[in-house]
Amino acid sequence: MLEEITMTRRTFLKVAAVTGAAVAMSAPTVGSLIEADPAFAASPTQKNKVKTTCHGCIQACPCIVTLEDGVAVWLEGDPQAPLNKGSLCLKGLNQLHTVYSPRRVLHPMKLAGPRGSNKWEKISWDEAITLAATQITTTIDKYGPYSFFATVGGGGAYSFMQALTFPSAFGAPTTFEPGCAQCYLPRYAMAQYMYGGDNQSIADNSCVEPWNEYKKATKVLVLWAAQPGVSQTSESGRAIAELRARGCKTVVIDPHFSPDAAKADVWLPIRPATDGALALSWFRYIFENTLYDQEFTKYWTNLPFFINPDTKLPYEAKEVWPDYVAKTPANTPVYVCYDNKTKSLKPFAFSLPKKSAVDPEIFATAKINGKQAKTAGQIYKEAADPYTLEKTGEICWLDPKKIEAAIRTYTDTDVAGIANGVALDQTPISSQTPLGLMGLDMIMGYVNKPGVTLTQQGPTSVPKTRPVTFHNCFGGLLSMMWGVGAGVGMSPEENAARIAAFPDKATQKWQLKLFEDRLGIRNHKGLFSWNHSHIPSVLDAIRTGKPYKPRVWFDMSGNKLAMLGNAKSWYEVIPEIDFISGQYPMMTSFQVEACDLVFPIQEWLEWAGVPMAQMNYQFMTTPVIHLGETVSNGLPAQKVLDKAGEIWGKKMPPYLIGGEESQEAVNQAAVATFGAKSWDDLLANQDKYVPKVVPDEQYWLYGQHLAIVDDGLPAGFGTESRKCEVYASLLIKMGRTGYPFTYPKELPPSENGDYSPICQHIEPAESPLTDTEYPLVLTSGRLPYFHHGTMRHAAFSREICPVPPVNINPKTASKHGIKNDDWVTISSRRGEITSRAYLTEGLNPGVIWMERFWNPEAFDSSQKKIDGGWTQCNVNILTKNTAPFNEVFGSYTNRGFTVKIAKADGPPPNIWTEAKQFEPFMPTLQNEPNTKWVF
Amino acid sequence: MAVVMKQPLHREILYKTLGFCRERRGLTDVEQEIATYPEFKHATQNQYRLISFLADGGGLDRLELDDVGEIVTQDTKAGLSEDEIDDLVASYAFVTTEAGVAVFDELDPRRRILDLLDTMPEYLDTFARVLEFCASARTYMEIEDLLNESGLCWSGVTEDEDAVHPSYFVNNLEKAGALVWDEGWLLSDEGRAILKSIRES
Repeated sequence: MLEEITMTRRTFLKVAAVTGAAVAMSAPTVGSLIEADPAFAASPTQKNKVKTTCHGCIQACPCIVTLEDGVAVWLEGDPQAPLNKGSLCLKGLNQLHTVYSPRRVLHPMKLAGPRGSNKWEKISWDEAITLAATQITTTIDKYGPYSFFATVGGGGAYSFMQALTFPSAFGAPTTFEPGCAQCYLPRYAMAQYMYGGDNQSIADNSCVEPWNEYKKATKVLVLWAAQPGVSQTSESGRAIAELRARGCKTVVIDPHFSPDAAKADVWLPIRPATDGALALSWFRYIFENTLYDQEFTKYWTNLPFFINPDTKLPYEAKEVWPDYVAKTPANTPVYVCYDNKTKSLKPFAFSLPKKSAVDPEIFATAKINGKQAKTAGQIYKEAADPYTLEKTGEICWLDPKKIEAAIRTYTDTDVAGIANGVALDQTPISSQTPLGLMGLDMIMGYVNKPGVTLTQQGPTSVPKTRPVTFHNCFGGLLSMMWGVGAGVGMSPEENAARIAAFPDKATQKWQLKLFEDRLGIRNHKGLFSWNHSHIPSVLDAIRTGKPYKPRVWFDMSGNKLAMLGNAKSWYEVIPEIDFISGQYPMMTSFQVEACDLVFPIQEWLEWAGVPMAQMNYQFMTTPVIHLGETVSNGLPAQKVLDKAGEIWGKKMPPYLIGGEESQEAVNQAAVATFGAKSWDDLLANQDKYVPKVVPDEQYWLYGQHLAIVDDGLPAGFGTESRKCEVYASLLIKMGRTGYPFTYPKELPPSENGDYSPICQHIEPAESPLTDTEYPLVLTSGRLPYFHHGTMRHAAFSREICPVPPVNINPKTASKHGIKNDDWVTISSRRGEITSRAYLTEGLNPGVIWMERFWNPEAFDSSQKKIDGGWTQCNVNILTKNTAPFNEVFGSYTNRGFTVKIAKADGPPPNIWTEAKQFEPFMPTLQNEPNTKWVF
Repeated sequence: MAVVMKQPLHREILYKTLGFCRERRGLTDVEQEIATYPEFKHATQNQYRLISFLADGGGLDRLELDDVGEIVTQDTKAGLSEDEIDDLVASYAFVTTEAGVAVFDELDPRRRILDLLDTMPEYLDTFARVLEFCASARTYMEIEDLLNESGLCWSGVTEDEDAVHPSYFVNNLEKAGALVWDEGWLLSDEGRAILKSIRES
């Protein structure tokens, strides 16, 4: 210690020169610290092929890697894969550049200068784990466990479950990812709330039925805010081309003339963030013209139920007829309908349609217990009534005739479905729109049938008992682990008994405490579905310290400065954070600007043997190469948790899901999955063991709700009513008390009132209809070259797409004197960026379009500033992370806000614009040895 | 200022170093002084780097000294080779620049504490209670118990928008320089002085 204290820099450098150590460097070094195998054998070149799975995006296409002397040189799709069928898109191909990128982080790196200096020193894994654990434990000692928080998201390292549970292991409630409420959670969760089943998302692998080649049934597919042609080019993008080729019609609803819109039978270039109005117009038209599936709507949705105007919940029969005794079990309530047979109010008991005692009316009003009540169908009909084709055309900037053509395409067939995309999650109507879109499929009876999108697959999708949905994370994982939350579909008595029987009362109590203390949760209780915090509330808490201050940060993936809405607002609070650990395969602007410590994470060619599914086929991920001291995504968190326990002298609670002790353990799990004798056996005989296939006839199953289960009734759905809840009554209970997530505890009601149980149109807070200062509305989407914030280090993709384009209608451009390829400033109330104009008729003149993330990552000594352009070109400098938020999920405004544009003098100073400038991104690590795993 | 405020773990160390170097100090003296600061136990950088942050950021002047302690000036170096210059410089000293002094004055804990109490008069009693309690070293749990039991603080979900957690008070008092963590929360000298004046007022 004394030596260290008195050592001057001059002395240190002299010592370093002798020992060969490097104190600090302007970029990560790539030398190996551990025993290594030589990368190159003596000539001749040894070639071999290995099967693995791409993880360029979350669709995980099986692929084949060609290696020459241990160096990956060629990637191609696996022809055995049922969906990508031998193809692989640019995102996947980028891997050859990113895995060998000079920007790779191959060793634990500790900051060696002030934050943002991009000066790093290479440290050992033991030092890195000890440093992170010491900072976390000390901060918790100083300020309590709520000072810790973890994050994930942005692509590149998929540590979703780890980030979601890591804070809990420290007794902390705060976790988030830039996606979640802004990506998939609303669509995922709303399907769970409405019918306990799979949702309509294509990109998230939930909607797979249209790609079913065992029974080719889809006749019409509505792509609502989805663009598989660029999002998942080789997988669903390829599959949809086949679908069209065999005669399936498509309707595309997208403000932008995407490749899918270009091939659509009907394209509706909707004004951004007015999807609620359009969906309501579809309801209106379908109701008015009796185009819905009458039997399904009457008997399998809750629209015929009368709704209590005070509680907004459906009347149960016993409320109307106190002496009524239900014949169905306590977990299957009997509601109230208007019976067309008897022309009177009747109990509506759950049964198969043919066994029902009533012919329920969907649209009715009646006096019940002295109050005028309406059926849920009537409520929906009245809510939709203002949205005539003409009125909707005005709101959405659409031709009413085209709206009608789109609806007719969807309704005038027996097999159709709506598939949706992330754009719906990125506005404050993120709950209302999927409510509408799934509701439409439900009233059309497009549920659990061949060719429709709302289907469930596999043998486990056929219930044997009354379906129950646990909402605390996927499959109720956290309900099981922590003994909290109600099972929707269980009776009150069954739920009470389940909670009482949970043995670990201390865990149960503590987790409920964490639930109620979660930032922003009171108003946005839908975040409980993924156990996340409300991002703007976390930002406020860091900034103000109220009600408590998250201040030691463990980030598990991505570039937060590219991904977070209003990214500069996050940059401004970084000085409030005591210590930031990051983990990522690359140095991005976030690691450079914010992190104090960076753990080296593997690219997907290095991943251990995690099995990946593509429909009914299961493929393996194979660690094809391994550079430096990189580890898998789940390993640092587990090691840091273990070390924290060592520091505190206690055993940490086993809440971390997906934490890995070793890579070998992951491989062994794969051995078991594929039924091999050993890992070596599995590797040597991939053709024998991979893929593992569930036979088509056991996978493509339908009519699950009709199966008779152990109580003698049809299974129905995993909701309280056992029906598709087009009127999502669970949302009413949720907003008021936190039910079902926080059961048995009740939280205070949302400050903004009840959540809407049906689709709504809410005019965006920044509206081009009224905004004279910022008259244009900006929306965004994907480009085919990149996934989320990743791959910006891939040299060839950057050559193809060196700068972020802004698409502008020529009429709008001419007003501003802007020509194609001109540089343009785009300003919102949050900030200003610069982009290059691409003029296209494929947008309404009032709309401009950009890629949804952009992080140039061009930081090096050729730039005057370190920021690499993220402040100059990133659309998230413009996005809005302040209220109004979505009521259920707290989603903020990534799309559909107002901007203005002007011609710029030229490009911003800190980005590269020409192909040659990207030369520093060319892969250089092919000569790195393939190393052994660290753990 | 930006250099000092970039990371909370180093803020008080850098502030105190600016104060220590108001008169010229040798590198070893500065390093040894920093080692005595309780905040240094949890710093993520060694003393030399922390000193360098200040020097590179314009808060300290870095002086090169010859083997008799005289400053090596540009004039002295004129005409010498790189190796000769390297041999000439035997040690370093640091002195706070004008800009550094301005930052030091601006971050005077007494000023920070008074600002805190002025801007949050509604919490004066609570701040005083915590300061009084931390006359001897206290764990965070002890402070949490104190505030929860006295009803001064938020604990759990509430409908009160202004409700705060006990760490809110600890954070503010530490940030103002009234509390310091030395294996427990303890009054700083300035915190002790402010507490005295609160008691007397």
